[in-house]
Amino acid sequence: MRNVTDEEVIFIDHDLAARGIVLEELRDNLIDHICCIIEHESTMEEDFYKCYERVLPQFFKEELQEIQTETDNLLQFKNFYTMKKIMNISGISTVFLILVGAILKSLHLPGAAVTFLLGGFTFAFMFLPILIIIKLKDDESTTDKVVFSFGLLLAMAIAVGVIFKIMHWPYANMLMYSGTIIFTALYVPLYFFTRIRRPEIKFNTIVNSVLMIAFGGIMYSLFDLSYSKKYADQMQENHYYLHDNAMLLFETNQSLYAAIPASEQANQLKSITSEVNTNLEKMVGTLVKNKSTSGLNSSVPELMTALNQYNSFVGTLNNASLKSIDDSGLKVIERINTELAMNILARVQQQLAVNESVFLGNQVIDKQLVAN
Amino acid sequence: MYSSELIKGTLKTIVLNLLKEQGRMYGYEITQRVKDLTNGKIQITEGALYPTLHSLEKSGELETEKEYLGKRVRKYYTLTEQGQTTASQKVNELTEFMQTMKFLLDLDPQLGNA
Repeated sequence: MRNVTDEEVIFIDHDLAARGIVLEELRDNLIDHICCIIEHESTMEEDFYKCYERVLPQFFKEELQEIQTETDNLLQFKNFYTMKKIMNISGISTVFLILVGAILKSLHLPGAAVTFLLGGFTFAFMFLPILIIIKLKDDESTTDKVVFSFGLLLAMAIAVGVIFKIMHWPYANMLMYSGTIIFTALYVPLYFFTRIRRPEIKFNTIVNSVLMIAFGGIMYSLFDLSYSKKYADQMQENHYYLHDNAMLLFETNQSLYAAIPASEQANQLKSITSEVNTNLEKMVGTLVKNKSTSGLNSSVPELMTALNQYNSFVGTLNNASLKSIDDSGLKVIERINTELAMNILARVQQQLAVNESVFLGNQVIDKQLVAN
Repeated sequence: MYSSELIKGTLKTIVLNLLKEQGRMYGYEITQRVKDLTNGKIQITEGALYPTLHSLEKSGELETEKEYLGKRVRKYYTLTEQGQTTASQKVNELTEFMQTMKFLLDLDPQLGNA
């Protein structure tokens, strides 16, 4: 019986690697198997290389790499099966959680947001990614795989955007807008043109494309509505109500100034209230003129300075009925819509008028008490 | 010699049962043993055997032991505890399947009366 030398083993090893057997364990198996055949089934006289060339074809039908591919497939099959199972479970969980979330939300019961959030995350980070992996392993053409995976990635972006929107987290609009626009303007045409020429899927392609365009359009219009006209009108009405009341109080206050004894405090209050109010009126004017909060950038610091001075002054009056004016709304005024901004300004204006009125009212009472 | 389709469906059972009886075997030995036992009627191809052995090893049915013969590495396969159970299950399953096939193909009319 002949013996395969170490040099010949190295030769087989290199040749198998060159023929696509990349898994070392598999290569070791095949080397030993080939060596066994050569040692048991060839004569001492036969040339090793000729014998090797004769033996090798019995390992494959067309090329040796088939064994590597078959091994890879069998090794991955278990994972593939597990992944499909996880995908099914995550799919069912998504449907269940979203349905329960919707019911809780419509009945105003607690736990709706958490349920929605869980459902959305299961969908975006479990179901869709596994679906992409499974699709990539399918026997479909490379173009179909790429187009489908691209679509699923966009679906992930939109789903995450929707979750962020529900949870009032940042970047929600960016995710939803970009996802929906790319989906409608790029993905759907890509899907349509890569499939329409295949007669067997032509009908499905047309139906799916129409459905997807409709979905994209509806999503886009929903995002773009921002807030309703009814809401805007209500906010405007609210602003006028607050503003008119404040003006009425300011007018009454002017008469009260005449009714109290002249004092440094009263003069200071009158002057500082007027300064803040002028700033507020100026800002309201800008809002009405521009119909946007974007032109307020220069007025906000001036108003904030005046308000700080006002609040400090109010603090020195030692009157518990006088309230410092909350400036938190003013800090974000440039980032909110016009109607809401006008409301915030009107509320500040009303607080100014009320403070002034309370101070003057107290002064009138004091004067009467002294007179009695 | 039987067709590769028939052998492929029963390969795992053949390998597991052989290892159950023989204890420790390497790839070439498995092919030769099957060939000898069946008088050459069943010849396991290397292209089917090694992917199956690797898959059984990964799923925990088999464990391996390496032996170095110079530059060569010989992998001996043995059944794990889980593999022993699977081997019995596979043999039972195949036996039942063969009986059903006999009945289905009308090769053993008595089975129908059983």
